[in-house]
Amino acid sequence: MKIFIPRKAIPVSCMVLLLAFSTGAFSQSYIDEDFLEILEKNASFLLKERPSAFANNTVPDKWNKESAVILDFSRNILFDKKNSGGFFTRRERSLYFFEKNRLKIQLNDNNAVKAFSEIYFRYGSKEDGFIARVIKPGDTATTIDLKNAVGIEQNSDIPEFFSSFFDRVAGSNYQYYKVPIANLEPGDILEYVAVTKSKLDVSMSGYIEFSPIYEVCSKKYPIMHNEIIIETDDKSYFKSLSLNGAPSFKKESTSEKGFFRYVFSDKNREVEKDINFVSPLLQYPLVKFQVIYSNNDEVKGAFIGDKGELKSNFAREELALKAWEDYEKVGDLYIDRGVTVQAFINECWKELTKLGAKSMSDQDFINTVYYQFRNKVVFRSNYLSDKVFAYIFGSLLFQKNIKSEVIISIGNSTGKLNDILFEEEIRYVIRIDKKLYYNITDFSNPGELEESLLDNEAYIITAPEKKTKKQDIKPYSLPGTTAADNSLVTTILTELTPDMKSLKVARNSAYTGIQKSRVSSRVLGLTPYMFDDYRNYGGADPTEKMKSKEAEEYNKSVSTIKEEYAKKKPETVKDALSEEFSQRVTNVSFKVISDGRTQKKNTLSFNEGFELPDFVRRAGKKYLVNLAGLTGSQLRITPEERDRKNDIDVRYPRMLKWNIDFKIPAGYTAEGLAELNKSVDNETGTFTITAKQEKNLVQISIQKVYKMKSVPKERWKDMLSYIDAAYNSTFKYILLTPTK
Amino acid sequence: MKTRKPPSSWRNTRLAASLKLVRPARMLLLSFLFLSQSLVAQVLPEDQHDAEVLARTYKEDPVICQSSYHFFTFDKGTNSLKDKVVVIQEEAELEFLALKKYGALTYPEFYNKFIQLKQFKKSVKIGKSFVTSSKAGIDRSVSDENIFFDDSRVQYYPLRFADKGNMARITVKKEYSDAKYLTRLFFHQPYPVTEQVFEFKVPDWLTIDFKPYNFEGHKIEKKVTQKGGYTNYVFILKNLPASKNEFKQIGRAFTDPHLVIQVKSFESKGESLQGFDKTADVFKWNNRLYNMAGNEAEKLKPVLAKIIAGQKTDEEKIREIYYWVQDKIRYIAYEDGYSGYIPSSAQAVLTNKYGDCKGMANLLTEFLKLAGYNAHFTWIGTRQIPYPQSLPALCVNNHAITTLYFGGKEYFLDPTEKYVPFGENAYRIQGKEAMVANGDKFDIKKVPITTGNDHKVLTKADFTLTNQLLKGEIKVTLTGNERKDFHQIYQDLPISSQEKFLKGFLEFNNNNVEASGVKTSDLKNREIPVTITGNIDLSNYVQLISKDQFINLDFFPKTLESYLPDEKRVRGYDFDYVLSFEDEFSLTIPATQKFADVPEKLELNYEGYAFKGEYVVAGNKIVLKKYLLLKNSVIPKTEFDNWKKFLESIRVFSTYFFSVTAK
Repeated sequence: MKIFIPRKAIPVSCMVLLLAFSTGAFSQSYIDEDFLEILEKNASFLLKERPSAFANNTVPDKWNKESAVILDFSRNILFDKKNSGGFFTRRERSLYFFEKNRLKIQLNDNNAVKAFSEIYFRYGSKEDGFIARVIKPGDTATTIDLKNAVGIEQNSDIPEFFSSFFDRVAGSNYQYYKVPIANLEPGDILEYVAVTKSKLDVSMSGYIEFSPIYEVCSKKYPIMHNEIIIETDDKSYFKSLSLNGAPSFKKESTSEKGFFRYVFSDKNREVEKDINFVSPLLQYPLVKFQVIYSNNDEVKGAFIGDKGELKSNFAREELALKAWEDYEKVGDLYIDRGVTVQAFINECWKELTKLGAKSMSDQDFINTVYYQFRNKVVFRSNYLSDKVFAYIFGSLLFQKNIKSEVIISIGNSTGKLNDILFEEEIRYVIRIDKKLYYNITDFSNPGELEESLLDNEAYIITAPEKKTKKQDIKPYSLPGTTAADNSLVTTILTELTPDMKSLKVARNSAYTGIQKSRVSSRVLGLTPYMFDDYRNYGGADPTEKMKSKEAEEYNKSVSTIKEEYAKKKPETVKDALSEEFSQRVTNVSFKVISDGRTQKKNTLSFNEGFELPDFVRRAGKKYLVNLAGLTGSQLRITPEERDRKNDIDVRYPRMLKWNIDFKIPAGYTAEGLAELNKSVDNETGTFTITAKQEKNLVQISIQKVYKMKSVPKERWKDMLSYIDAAYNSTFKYILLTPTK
Repeated sequence: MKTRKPPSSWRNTRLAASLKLVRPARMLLLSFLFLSQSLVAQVLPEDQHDAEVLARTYKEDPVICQSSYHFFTFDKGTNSLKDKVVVIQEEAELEFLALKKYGALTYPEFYNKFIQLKQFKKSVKIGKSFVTSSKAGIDRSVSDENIFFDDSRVQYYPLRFADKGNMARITVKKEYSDAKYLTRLFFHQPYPVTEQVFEFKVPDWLTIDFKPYNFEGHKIEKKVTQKGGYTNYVFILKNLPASKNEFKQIGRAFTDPHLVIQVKSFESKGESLQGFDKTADVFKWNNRLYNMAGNEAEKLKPVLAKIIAGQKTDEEKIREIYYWVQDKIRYIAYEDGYSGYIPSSAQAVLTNKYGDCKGMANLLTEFLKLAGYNAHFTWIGTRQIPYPQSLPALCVNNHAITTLYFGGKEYFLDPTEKYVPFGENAYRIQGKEAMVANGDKFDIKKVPITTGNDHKVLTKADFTLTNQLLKGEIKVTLTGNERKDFHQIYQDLPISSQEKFLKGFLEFNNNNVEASGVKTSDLKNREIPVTITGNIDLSNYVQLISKDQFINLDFFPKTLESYLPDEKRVRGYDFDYVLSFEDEFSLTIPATQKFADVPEKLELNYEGYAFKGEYVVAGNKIVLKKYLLLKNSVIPKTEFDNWKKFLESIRVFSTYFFSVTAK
């Protein structure tokens, strides 16, 4: 949830002060007996409101073999500034949330009984209510006694089925309790009804965006009826979009003037079963929605519908305007405690001028800004959003009159450009001439692509005209990549250890593109890349400005950290190798050759040495060596996954190569090379393995290529052909036969 | 004693003081913060020197406790049951020294309803003085994940040091409202300690004993002085290395030096009051709390009648009752205050259909008694606890079961151990002494132990070789704990996953095995061995090289690699089970072919474990027979050399190929 106060942005921490929550004892203790009667009294009316879905006790036969089946899951949330449900005051300071939730689930086995053995409910305000009941087959409902309920610790996770909507979107701290369900057995139906009243002090804030909700229709169990009802007064706005075949929210009439009602209803939803290459938000039926409170139309700004409108999409003009408005506000945000983004930019510019920014060529300046900015990011505990990145980067370039363009898009695992519904979904990229600059990480270089923005539709936007608010909006396609751009080339020199019991491996791995982005954090973790990072932009050694005592302290700190890294890195490398080869590895060494963090040397390259005992097998006096297995574990598709329901999202095309040189031990000949050769190639991908002998070396070349980013499910068989070939090849051995 | 269900992977879930280095970039900033705000990080030369010297000895440890002093005094008081009891005050002061720049640890103090934390403070050394922080320790629950609700809480302070030689002090005041709940004190801590001192100022009106455990091999100094109506007992141990938790380690109480505190008796207003002097005193206390359960046997009758309806013999009735409690009562534990010691009433457990070990044992005992059988509520310690019942202390028992005398035999019935057949005992209580209630008296009985052969995984597979594919039939038979473990997993799976699980079971997590036609024994019957049969295809197992076929028939090797100790391992292993594997895999090849390169047999016999593996060729059939026995569940560290050789030999044996060539 984000709260805005007109004029200046406020630090997020102030938000807590605005939340006027009723609090209980935030520790484990028995529930106060006085609460029990109130809980029942407050919720009892909801039991009388029995919609047909909740009255149903019958599960379709097709789901008899499921662990549990949800008969009804219903959430009804009323956003009410008028406090129509309680005492009304003219100068009401709070926004009230009245929720009515109900769940009914049939538990078919021990597993489900265990999962619902303990249930949770809220008692954080005196209007909260809860009743849970168990219905035995052919019997009437028995109410669960809540007297054995105990309060749960603050910040404990509340399971999805029991958490109030408000607590999810507002991150609040109302007191929850848990209670074991007496006499619960397989075959029973468990049902509960819950009402909660939450309030939020909005006297200081004119505009609140509650966290967006992505409701994936399929759950852990099949669900017969899933309903969400949002009711708002005329101070709140609602937007929602259904995707991938999910039903939509429908606007319904209400009897009360000034209130609006939106209803989502989904029926007979199966459990999703695909495992690999799935992007749930892009492929599974889902509805996303958000409620926004705004106390006057001027404050509400763009990207919200009109009062009472069920907004489900935005014209590109609305999107562009919202994106630009948000972008412009970044300067007033705090980047660190007490430091605004603008102050940060000023400091950076000051340093850049000292570095001779004014006399630099434009390209040198752009690179210097990038690496200077990256140096600041390296020492942060979290990365910046790409909106903040774009603002700072663009602003610094502007100091030297370098014009940059702002590009907006959406993450490619979140949705399509036309489906942007929330501010949080808008992604930012900076373009200078034809070159794109994506958000900075510890390991990125100028112009390097970002996996979540590959191949996306986008808009180039400009500042709106002051009077007309008109903007230039140009459609733009963010670039994709080819498999060759995202490569891993592994060069392996290997031989048997003198005792012929293990395989001794010297391996160089070179990563580029998205492949590099994916592994840099793991590979360069516990290496001291950050300490000399200032050199990349020509910055001064941090100790230069320090007094001698400070410099001494700094140097001691750095050397301590380096020592600690040097000690811990081999352990993490050993663990990673053991996982890669599914066996214990020994004699591990590691050395970074190039960290891939400069434009000149943008390949991440490192050497590892290790020994693998299980790659050498004996057969009498002969030895079998699993050289093809040096690719590490390869993806296996299980029989259940071979029948695919969804299209395939490979994320990005990529090329993996292994060049293996094996030294044949003296006194042995190598056989079985021809048996290794295999080649599979189609439009979706490739797997090839070739083996030959050159003098006393066995040379094996292996290549696996995922050619496409997205593959239609009809071509799953094509993918399986090379995925299976790669998997099966890892079990191939060569034979070493003694010459005498 | 807090009786609770020890899960099969029983472990100490106390929040151990954790040692760690904080994030570097963050710490770098922090160090400048220290410098800019004050010279908090300034280190006295003598502290710097101490840190330099100690860091050479304790190379792996970022922080050492230079002095740990615990002082215990004794008063008289009353517990919530209105008993006159001995109350203990503990005052402790601990000084920590950073051995590394940015060394850090979290110091915890645990408490509950019987142990109050009266004062808990952290001070940081600035210059020559310690400055006390105004911040309270961070407080939270430390309930075990298996406990629904209890009163176990912790307060802790993170201690972070900017520099080597920085110091901090922790001061603690605790009150044990009843001396029974100060059961034992361990000298070793998760951090190294230069000097650990426990001092007890014992008044003349109190008779107390400090029972030493595992003192052999440690130079523990004991001083006893008398002055002014008090006897002071001081125990000192110096230069203690950090005690780190290790995977499947032998319980600390078996190896680490510690004191068991035994308040035997005390005088109050001329009256001599009994503490825990003899085992009977512990029983009296346990039995008193047991009797507070408030059982109303009449209320059990209707359900009992339904359970045993149709059962003819006594044994049938007993089985039905035992299995009904196992199956119908869920393990849910409330363990706050005396709820940790007083069982829920049998009728409450029956109504709720949930309870903890005490509640389940209580219900089972009452059911059996009501049905006319000689059943008794029983206290017992699991195998993690080394003490005999002759030690009068609450730390001896941590579990509750039912003892049944039937047909001239003793049965130790543990209803928390789901799917155990009548007549078999959970391994976690085997070999342990049980305190069996018998009215106002008690008996001590020993739970019999079983051998690895009683808990067997028997795998038999017959393959034929056709076109480089191994195809065959397989049968797996599980007995003893292996059968029970199978049931515990299988019966709790979602029904939608059970079929897949059975298939996966025959595939042994081997991605190259494909099982089909899976059949099982009657899985509703916990008393018969579990058998799973099916057809399996092994792909990627035959290497065709130069017209010969090389095959590794050992498709399910028991390498036990996860139990191979590395050079840093300090403690021995306690697997908490014994078992045996017996495999017989055969392969039949076409009559036109023959076997070559047949591996030699391997036979290994050690005191606690054994292995035998051999390939036997008969015509066009080869049979791999393997037998692995874990006789002891414990591998002491002194046995590590043999244990490593044992594991390595098995690993190598399992890698052997043989070849199939033309005749």
